[in-house]
Amino acid sequence: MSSWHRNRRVLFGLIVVTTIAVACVAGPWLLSAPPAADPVRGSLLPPMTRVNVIETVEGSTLVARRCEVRDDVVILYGGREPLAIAADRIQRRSSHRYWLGTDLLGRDVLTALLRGGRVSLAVVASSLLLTLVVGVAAGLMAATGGAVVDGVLMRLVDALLAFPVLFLMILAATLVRPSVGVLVAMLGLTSWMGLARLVRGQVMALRARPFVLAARLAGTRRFGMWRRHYLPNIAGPVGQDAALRMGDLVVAEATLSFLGLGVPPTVPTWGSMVADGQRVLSDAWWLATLPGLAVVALVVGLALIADGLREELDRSLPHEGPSRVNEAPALR
Amino acid sequence: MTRRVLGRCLALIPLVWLIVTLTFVAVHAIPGSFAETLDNPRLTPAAREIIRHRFGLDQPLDHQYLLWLKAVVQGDLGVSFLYRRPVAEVVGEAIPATVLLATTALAIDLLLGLVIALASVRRPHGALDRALSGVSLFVWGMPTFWLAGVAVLVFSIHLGWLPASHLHDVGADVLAPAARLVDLLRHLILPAGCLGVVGAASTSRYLRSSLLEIRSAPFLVAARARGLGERRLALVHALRPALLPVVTLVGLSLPMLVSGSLVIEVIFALPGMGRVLWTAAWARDVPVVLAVTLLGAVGVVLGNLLADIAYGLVDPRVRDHE
Repeated sequence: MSSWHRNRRVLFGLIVVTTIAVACVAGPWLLSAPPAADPVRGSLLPPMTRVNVIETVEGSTLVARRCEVRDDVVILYGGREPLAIAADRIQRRSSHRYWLGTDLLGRDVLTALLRGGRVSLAVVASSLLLTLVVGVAAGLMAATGGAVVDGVLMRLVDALLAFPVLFLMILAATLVRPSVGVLVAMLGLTSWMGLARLVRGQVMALRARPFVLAARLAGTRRFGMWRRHYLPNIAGPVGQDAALRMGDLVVAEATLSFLGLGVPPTVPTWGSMVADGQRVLSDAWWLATLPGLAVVALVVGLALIADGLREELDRSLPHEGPSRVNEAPALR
Repeated sequence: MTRRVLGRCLALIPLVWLIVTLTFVAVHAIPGSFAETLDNPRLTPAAREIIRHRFGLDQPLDHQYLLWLKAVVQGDLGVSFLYRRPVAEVVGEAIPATVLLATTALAIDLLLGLVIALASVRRPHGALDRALSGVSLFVWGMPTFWLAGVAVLVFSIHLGWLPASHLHDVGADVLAPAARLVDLLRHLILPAGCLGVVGAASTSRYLRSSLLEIRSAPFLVAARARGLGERRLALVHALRPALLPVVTLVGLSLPMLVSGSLVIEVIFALPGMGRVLWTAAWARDVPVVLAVTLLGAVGVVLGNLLADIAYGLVDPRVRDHE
């Protein structure tokens, strides 16, 4: 594990993931605030469009791709027909570039993407935490709790793994009203099984090692064993697995939101943005495409981290036979 | 071999029982379940009692559980709230489309994965390998629903080559059998392709690494020393052992395939189980949701069993052990 931070794949993956995370968290503050939505002239503007922003004395905001000044009248083009405004009704004129275009209601896509990313990332991070807690606890208990506990837990894992995760989530979504908390619980509670298997296997292997045997003979209590011997020694594989699993969670969250079964529709996330965008696919390619690209970038970044970590772990650990296939990648 | 298969089948019984029980628990453990699904302010208390009685909801929980077990064993999955028809009928009609989609996707997945992996291990870490690894990592990161949208945008909207939804054209019933088959295949290309390509990305990743690991195995060194050609080494000697993890992977990726079918069926409006489940979820048609979840899980378990048996057939160490 000494050189994981020098691994090129890990480094590149970290850069990608950190960039996305920082952009989502800090982006909305750092960017110049986009003009208020103008559903008439600002609707479905393609990426990179520069517009004139006109604020009237009445307080409404108008957006126009082309703007002509004639004597004391300003004519705005775009929409169905041009609109003329008396110059003395204009309070402020400025210009704004929509880097990623606008949606059907004339809202800035970049801002929505970053806001949606915040929600997606928060949901994914919390469900990953839940997965880690449940998975590691279940794995530890199975490995150290005796044959009965082990048998019960592992059969439960087998049964849960047999459910198509998406079906399980839809089952839950039909029975409870969707909210962010429910979504986190659903994602977390349906993705801990593979991790529990991994932890169990690792701890079982550790228990055969002399230093663990010595610690147990010295009378270390169970919790002490967990904390001092098992957890630190499984941190590497668990971290690698967590990176991969986080990618799966990103896709799972996006898929659920896409299907309308994730967070409530008032909260836009990448998945629901794609769903909205696909309704106007033939008029505005960017609406469905860009949020999906964000998902791909995040997942690929996480996969690079996981791949690189695995490479380093394989190098530092004794080899354990063919590549691990104990669980297929989740929902895609 | 027969004993092994029989043993595996017997081991499935508790698993299937656990799945049936878990679906029951899921419905009853979550607050606001079943009975409240019928909650309608315009429903009089008397009417609610009648409904509760008809669905057996006034029975004690243990009794309900036994009723549920008995009904499932008898293949009676209840009556759909939405369609007012037996659930078995509604779901049964939807199975062929899902099976068709999933098997086509699986075939694309395996063939494409195999070709990519074989092409990349010809010169590991060479230019082609790097390019293919990069592309498959990128594709692997794509959510199916997004890839499907992009595919529709490119192939249906801009190029106009392929239909964007449904399994048949309007009026396909009157076509000659051959023309109908062509029509069906044209409609299958995009949905099965999207599902298969994403799967192939992960298959090729696994297969590539297992091929690379096997390259340095003693039996391959020996075969190379005997003077066998590289092509024969790769296609005959290395591929068979390298396919072992893929067999397991296929069994394990069945849940993913079933879930993925759901998304694809919804996007392409295909009349499959996933679409039935999705519609039922929106209508809170609990019996249908339960039945499809159950069927999906049992299908996955059976798929795993098949993969297990196939593993025995492919791996002489397992096959000749008994």
